[in-house]
Amino acid sequence: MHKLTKNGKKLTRSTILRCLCVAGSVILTLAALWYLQRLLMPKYQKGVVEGSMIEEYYLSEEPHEVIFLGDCEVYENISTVTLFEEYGISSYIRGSAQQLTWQSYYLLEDTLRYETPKVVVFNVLALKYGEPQSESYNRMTLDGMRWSSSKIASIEASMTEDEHMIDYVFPFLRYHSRWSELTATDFEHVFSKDRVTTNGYYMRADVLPEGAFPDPMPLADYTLPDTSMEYLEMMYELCEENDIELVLIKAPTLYPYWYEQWDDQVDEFADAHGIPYINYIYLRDAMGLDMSEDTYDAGLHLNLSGAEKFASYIGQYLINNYDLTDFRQYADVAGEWEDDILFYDSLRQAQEAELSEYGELRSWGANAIE
Amino acid sequence: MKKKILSIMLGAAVVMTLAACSGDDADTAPVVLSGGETAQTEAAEGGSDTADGTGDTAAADAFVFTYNGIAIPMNAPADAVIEQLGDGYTYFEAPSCAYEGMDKVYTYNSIVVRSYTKDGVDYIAAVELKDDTVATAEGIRIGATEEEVRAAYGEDGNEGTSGIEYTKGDSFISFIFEDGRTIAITYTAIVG
Repeated sequence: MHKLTKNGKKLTRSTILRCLCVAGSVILTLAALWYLQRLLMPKYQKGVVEGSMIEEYYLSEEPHEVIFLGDCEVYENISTVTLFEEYGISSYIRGSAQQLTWQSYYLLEDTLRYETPKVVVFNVLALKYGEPQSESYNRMTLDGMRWSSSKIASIEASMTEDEHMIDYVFPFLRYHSRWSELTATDFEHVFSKDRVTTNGYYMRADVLPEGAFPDPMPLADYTLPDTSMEYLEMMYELCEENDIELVLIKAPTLYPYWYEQWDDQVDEFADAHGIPYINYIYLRDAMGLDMSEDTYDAGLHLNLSGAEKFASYIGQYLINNYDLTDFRQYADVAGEWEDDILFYDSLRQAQEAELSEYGELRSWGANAIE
Repeated sequence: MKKKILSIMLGAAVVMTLAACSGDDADTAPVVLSGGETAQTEAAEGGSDTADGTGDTAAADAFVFTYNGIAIPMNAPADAVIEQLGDGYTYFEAPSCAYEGMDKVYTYNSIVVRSYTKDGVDYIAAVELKDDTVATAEGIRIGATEEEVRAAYGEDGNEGTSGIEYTKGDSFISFIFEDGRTIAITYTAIVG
């Protein structure tokens, strides 16, 4: 039996077969390219896991009334599990390495596509950056975002001089040179990734006491850059439009140095907008931080015990000042958190076991980099 | 038919080849993105160090500060320089977020030396002058007036984020003034 084409020619069986073969070849080629792209993209599963954080948010099932935005000063310093266990606060840290202020803004836009939190807590350290800094950090924040106008805008705002939008649209173009350095981890995680955080909190249970820091360098100009302050203003407006309370914080860690002049400018911004700004550097004693045991890297970041103390302290502030739900009373949400807590506890036990056996962590952090 | 399939396969190969040749060079890719980097080989070798005391000399590619007779060229491999400078320093190191680098800070009596790491090799990133016991080769030290700096280095300094900046090759020296006096002098490597 023959079918007729538009110009009256007979569509023979062999013609149909040819078409099918061509279509099949195209599909196979595209599939191969897609697979190669997935294979070649960094997996961020061992050592440097920060590139996995942004995309993990989309897998979180429970609602979040508090969203934290910022860099390592949030994702390493605040235990989301402590916030839930002590106060019933359901929160998520949308943090990433050296997250720039405009990236925080666009991540907030992105978050609002999925839920509207009651409180957004923004850590102010990144306000010191007024320009794109590093492709590696950009990738860790941007590659994990789902495609949306927010992601496109964030890429455009973040690209360094040598970066191109096309490389973000087709990451294969950027990552092709990784073919010679692929590891077993790359093959293992082509289609799925292991979890690396507990609702955005990156755990480190080891201890390295805080030491002395070098004196801060004098700066020619202490004015926080216009660009970052403009995005902070936009963040404030976005929160206002969505009935979200914005809270500005500076994490209690002392390095990188946070200049008093910067602190004053954030204070002025907060006063002018009627929002709180809390510099927790001044509250280290009040929250019971003992930096001889509450940091894992000589004071740059808090470890697990430090993050639990900070969470306990900031959690009290949040429930005292905002109408937050105690989700421990809601079985469905509490059930989701049970899974998170199981993960958290198993991670804690695994890290403690390694510390006990080796005196250091070998499966996390710098020692685990492949 | 076979020709068509072959064409498609060739087309795909061309696309992949083009892709392999496009984008940023692996040589400039950040560590996490690609391990295909090659070590920086154009670090300034320091030029001629003719000064016996402190000061800078005009290296071909970068400023060189000299401390206790030891040349400290910007962007030069740091290990040898630190070794020559001796043990009289306090050391601080801070890994960047996600281990994208390591800031190493060596604090001596009168200067602070900072290094950066590239491909596992440390290079001189900056030298800060801490007090007025050390001076640049042009005789500028902490406390010098703005006029003295301009007389020594010229009127063509750029006002940058680090103060008044004078560039030489892949480095610059910057001066910060307060009430007309120099309060900070820093040599900085421009990292390509």
